[in-house]
This record gives sequence, structure tokens and C-alpha cells, in this order.
Amino acid sequence: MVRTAQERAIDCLLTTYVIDDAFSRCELQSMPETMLQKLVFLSERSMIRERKKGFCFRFVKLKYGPFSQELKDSLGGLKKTGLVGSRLAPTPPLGVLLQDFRDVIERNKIFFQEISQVNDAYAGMSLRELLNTVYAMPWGKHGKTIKDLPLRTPMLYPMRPGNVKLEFGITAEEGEDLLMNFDLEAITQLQQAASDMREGRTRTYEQVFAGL
Amino acid sequence: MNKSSQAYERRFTKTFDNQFHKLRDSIRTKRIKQRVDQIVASPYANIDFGAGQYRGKRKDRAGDDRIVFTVCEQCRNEHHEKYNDCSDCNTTPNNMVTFWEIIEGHKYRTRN
Repeated sequence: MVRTAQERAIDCLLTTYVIDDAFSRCELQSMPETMLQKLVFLSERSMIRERKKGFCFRFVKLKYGPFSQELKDSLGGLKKTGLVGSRLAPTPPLGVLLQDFRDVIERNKIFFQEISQVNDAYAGMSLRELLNTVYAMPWGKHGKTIKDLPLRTPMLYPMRPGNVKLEFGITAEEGEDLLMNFDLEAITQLQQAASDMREGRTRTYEQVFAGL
Repeated sequence: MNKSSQAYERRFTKTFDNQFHKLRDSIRTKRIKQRVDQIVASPYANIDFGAGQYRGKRKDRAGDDRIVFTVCEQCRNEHHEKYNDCSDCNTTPNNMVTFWEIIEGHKYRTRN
């Protein structure tokens, strides 16, 4: 099932928080994408265990352990919109975004605390150390570890509505405001409009609405 | 002159103009023009500021679309100049409403 617009907005917000929190908590200079995949996986797993619906990424087992194509795509968007820089470093616009959505973060702090706990435990590890830790984690009821799972085994997917005990709370308006910030096309147009205003490229009412 | 009785000027970025002229749906274009007219007639109705990368700019709905704009007087009062960064800030009057961008909001629809 495809994620809803609201789920995509929450996924992107939580992902940016994982990055921002990991960098500030562990004083990171850079974060490999593989490391972000594992940190998000561990946070989502922890939320699902407690039946909290926060992240909605689907993860499968690949060569380097749990991997989500949806997360990879979201991250690509975050980079292009300038919220995340090279080597996944948080940028000033990301700081502004997280500040402007602090009410949402405060209201849903239980989800963000979950992320902070995971970052506390794992974000300071080297990538190799983190991968080995994740590979060795038990999975399923047959004494297997994540390393033992066959490639492409589905690992995490959104909970059925009936299983959810606590859901990330966000209004439709907040969801739309978030999506505007994560939408490459809208942000590109905004940057062009800002460039227009810096360089005096304006139009009159008559020029815009002539012919209507 | 108080805010409600003041006559407001309007201008549009080239980006807004380009976006508007790409719209092929006459209902949407009429709706956007109508909302622009309403905003210019009463720019302090429905104050709703954007967030994140839209900080310092206001937004209003025209159907599913959103219109992003600023009111110079309000921008100065709220000290939003650093977010909006217009080159002609020193010479633009307070009563100018600038329309920046149209956001095709149907992509984000989260309401049922």
C-alpha cells in the first residue's frame, strides 16, 4: 500500500530529526547513508514494538542489512531541497524548519524521545560497528539473526490500523505545511521567486491577468 | 491611515507569472485571480504565515492551490526582511502586496 501524503510528511520530519539529533548528540562530521538507514530502521522497529505509529517506511533485508527504498527516495528529496547537505549534514534551513515545527515535536515528544534513545545508543558507533551490531540482532521466533535472513526478506512495514496504540498527531494544515517544505518543485519555484525579488523581476497585475 | 482603509498596491514575481500562465484550468485561474483581488482588498484577513523555508511569507488558499505573498508593512513590522530579502526594500512603500508563488496544493492533500 502506498503511503499517504500525511505519512510521507511525518516520515520526512522524523528522518530530518534523526539526522539533526545524531549530528548534535554525537558531534558527527558526516553520516554515511547506510548509517542513516540503520538508525531509522532501529527507531522504527522500536516504535513498532510499542505499537506507536511514527515512521511508515518499509524495510527489506539487503546486502548491508535493513534497507528502505522509500527512505532512500525521501533522503534524495531532502538533499535537493537543501534541508540536508553533503555527507548528510543538517543545514540552516533544516534548523529553521525544526524550530518552526517545535509545537508538533513537543506534542509528539514520545516519538522523538524514541529517536534520541536510538541515537544515544548507536549514532556514535563507526559504520562497521553499527552494521555488525545490527547483523547480530535476533530476528523472528526461530533464533535467527538479521544476518541469517535471506535477501529481500520484508522486515518492517506499517502496522495495521487495529494494532496501533498511539499515532503521531499532526493536523492536516501542519501536514501540508511540511509537504510544501519537502517538495522540490515548490522549493525550486520559491528560490526562483526569491531570485526575482533580489533582481527586480516583477510583473504588474495587468501583465499577469491580461486575457482573463 | 489605518490598515483597513488603506489602498494596497500589488505586484507579482516573474515566477508567479510563469506559473499562472502555465495553468490550463480556467476555473483555477479565475479562482486565483479572485483570491488575489480579495487579498489586495483586505490583506490582514486570514493571517497565516508559512513555516520553515516559507518563514516570513504568508499563504492563502485558492481552492486546492496556495498563494504565497507578503505585505511590505507587515514584513517590516514583524522584522521579516531577512527572510524575504527584496532588493528594493528601501524604496517600496508599506502598502505593497507582493505575490511570490503558486503552490499546487492538490499534491499535498491530507484532508479526507
